[in-house]
Amino acid sequence: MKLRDLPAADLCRKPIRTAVLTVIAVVLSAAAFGGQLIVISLQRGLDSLEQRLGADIIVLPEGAENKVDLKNILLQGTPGYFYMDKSITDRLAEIDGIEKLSAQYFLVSANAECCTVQVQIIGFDEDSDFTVKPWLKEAYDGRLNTNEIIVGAGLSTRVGHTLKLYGVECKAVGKLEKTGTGLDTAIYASDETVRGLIKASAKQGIAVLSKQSPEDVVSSVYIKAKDGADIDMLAAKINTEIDGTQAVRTRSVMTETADRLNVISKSITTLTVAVPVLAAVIMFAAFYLISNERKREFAVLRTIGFSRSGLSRLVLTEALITAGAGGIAGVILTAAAVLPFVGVIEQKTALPVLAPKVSETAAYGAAVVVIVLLTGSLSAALSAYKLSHIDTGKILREGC
Amino acid sequence: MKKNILGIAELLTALLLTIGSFTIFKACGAHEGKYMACHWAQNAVTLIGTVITLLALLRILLKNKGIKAGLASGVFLLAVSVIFIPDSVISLCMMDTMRCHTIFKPTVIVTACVLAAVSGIDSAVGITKAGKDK
Amino acid sequence: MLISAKSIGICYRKKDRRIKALDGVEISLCGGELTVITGRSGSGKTTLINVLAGLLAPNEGQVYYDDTSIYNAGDKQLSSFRNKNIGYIPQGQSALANLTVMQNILLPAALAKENKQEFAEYLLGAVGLEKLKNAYPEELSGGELRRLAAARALINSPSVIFADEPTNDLDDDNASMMLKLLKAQSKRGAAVIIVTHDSTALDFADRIFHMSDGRIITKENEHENTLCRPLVS
Repeated sequence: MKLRDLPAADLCRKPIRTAVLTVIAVVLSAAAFGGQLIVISLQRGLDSLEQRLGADIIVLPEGAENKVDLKNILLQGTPGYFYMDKSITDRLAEIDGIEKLSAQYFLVSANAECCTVQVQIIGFDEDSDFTVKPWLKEAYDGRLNTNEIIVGAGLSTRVGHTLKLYGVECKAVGKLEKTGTGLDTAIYASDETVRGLIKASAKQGIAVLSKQSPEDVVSSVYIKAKDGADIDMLAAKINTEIDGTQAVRTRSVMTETADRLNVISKSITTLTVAVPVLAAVIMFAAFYLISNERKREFAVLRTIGFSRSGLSRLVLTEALITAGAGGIAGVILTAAAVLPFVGVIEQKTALPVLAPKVSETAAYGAAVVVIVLLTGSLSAALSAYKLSHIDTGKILREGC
Repeated sequence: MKKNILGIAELLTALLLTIGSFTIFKACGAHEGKYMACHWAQNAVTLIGTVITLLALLRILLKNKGIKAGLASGVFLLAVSVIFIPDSVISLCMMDTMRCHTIFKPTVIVTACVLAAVSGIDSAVGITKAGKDK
Repeated sequence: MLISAKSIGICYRKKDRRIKALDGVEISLCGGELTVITGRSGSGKTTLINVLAGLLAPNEGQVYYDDTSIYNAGDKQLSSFRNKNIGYIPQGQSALANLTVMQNILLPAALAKENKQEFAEYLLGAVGLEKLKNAYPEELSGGELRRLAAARALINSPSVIFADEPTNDLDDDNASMMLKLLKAQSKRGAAVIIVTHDSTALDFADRIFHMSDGRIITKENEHENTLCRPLVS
């Protein structure tokens, strides 16, 4: 018999009491960690989208549905296409206040070799590009040759492997970093490759897109404003000076997303706070009730020679063991329940979701366990005080 | 009942894995009569899940402690192998946003991990007990 | 002389009534003697031994162990003193439900950071619980629990032993065994103080005190302090 075995013996011999306290700690930790994990993943997704777009203004063909299509492409990865005359690029270049501009051409694959789903193919101009290449995780040497592509992180194709699009073997020479946005499932190619793909589609009898070649049309133009330029003014100028287009401030796409994210985040944060507070209150009540039924046990321990601080330590150790076990279990269970299902959350919320790195997740988990331990010890503090200050003489005299 | 609690937990988890793999968390469905790569991963999970279910059932029904421990070890090894079926052993579809990536793969992995943990504890306990009885 | 209580007074309130549980009690106890305190229920016997054992600070008076007033010491010091020097057999059931019989007996030794496994085995035999050493208290009868409490009180070979109704729940044979065990402790030099209604305990007594209304009314075989043998340490 060693003194350090006493808390464990107390906990093991009262399995139901221990299980109830542990479950409360699991709920507390799962709510705090799960809620936090989702809120952080959404926030990171939004930040990532902002950085990923890298432009101040996106110019699209006029029409509300085009804006919706763009949002679907960016947020959900739903492939889409819309076109406007290529000459718009030259006209945009004449407008003051623009530092960089780069046009992109959207094409949708009929299907890729493996899967009967459509993939967004984006033709981009390598010379003017400032939105794709900064995200290259696995870089390639030189330029994109014909039938060479860069793939998003959400596609399983590895660098060096090929992918058949409209029957054309395309070699993946680069892969982008994961952003948690819809652009993760896109394929990037040079205009030349895109032209080849359109021809191939025509050969296969899928000729709907062939009339609109990247030689004549573009889908969108990404614009970076000069430092200090008034972006709203610039957008307004584009809208008035160039017919048939709409200049969308990327921040407006972001604002709507951010607003929705705020609503979701607030609800989750409320739950993240409310559930642990409720759990802490229940834990406090549980410890308090337990302290009433353990008075005689502690009076006996006093007669054996336990000091008041020794008794407090015993109560707090038991609380820390249950809270620690529950806290760790809660974090592990939540990580297992949330992290593998980030994809589903992304689809169901239609928001960009980017789970934090393993080290960051572990740090959040550790922080939550510390919070649960603190809550457990604070909840047990009153009963520790009460039990260590019992009137031993009175309890023994009553003989109950 | 108390003695078989781990065995029952194994059987229920194995049933969830087997039946779930072609119902609630099945992979992507057929498009225009064509099955995608993930379909074969789903079939493999269903097949191994069925074998695990039968082993878990035998683990409950048979009396010999040594055999029970052996069956639990078999369940453990098969459960570990199931973890690697989606995407590692058998490729899934190309895009991360597809059902086989968002639902099938994570659910199969989580369920197989739970099964591996339960059967791992069961086989460790079983082997220790069987060793002591000798 | 080792234990002396001077002008001990204990008061408490019960429904606006002020009750004196102990009223100016003076008592001296010696090592090597078995003292029996008798009296009707509510006469203050248990309160007195709680005060003497350092479990209940009196409102008035002082308790001295070898000229040291125990209630002047801090809680840690007093608790450690109690652990090493005082064995206490409380009234009623006092086994710790979460520990086995053996663990219950070894707990005071564990608190004193001592390994007394062998002595615990001996004590188990002495109280007739050797076959139940791995049992939990819920499996024991009332009499077995009293014997367990006695063995636990003796594990650290204390120099003072307080026993509150030690023969309650015991049949005649076991009651006699318990009293013999306590007498043996006094023979080895410990001061043994028994609070009881059981008249057979009087046969083992070196000294007898009768209590009524919080006061000691008669003292039998009372002697001068100077005659006291020093307590074993």
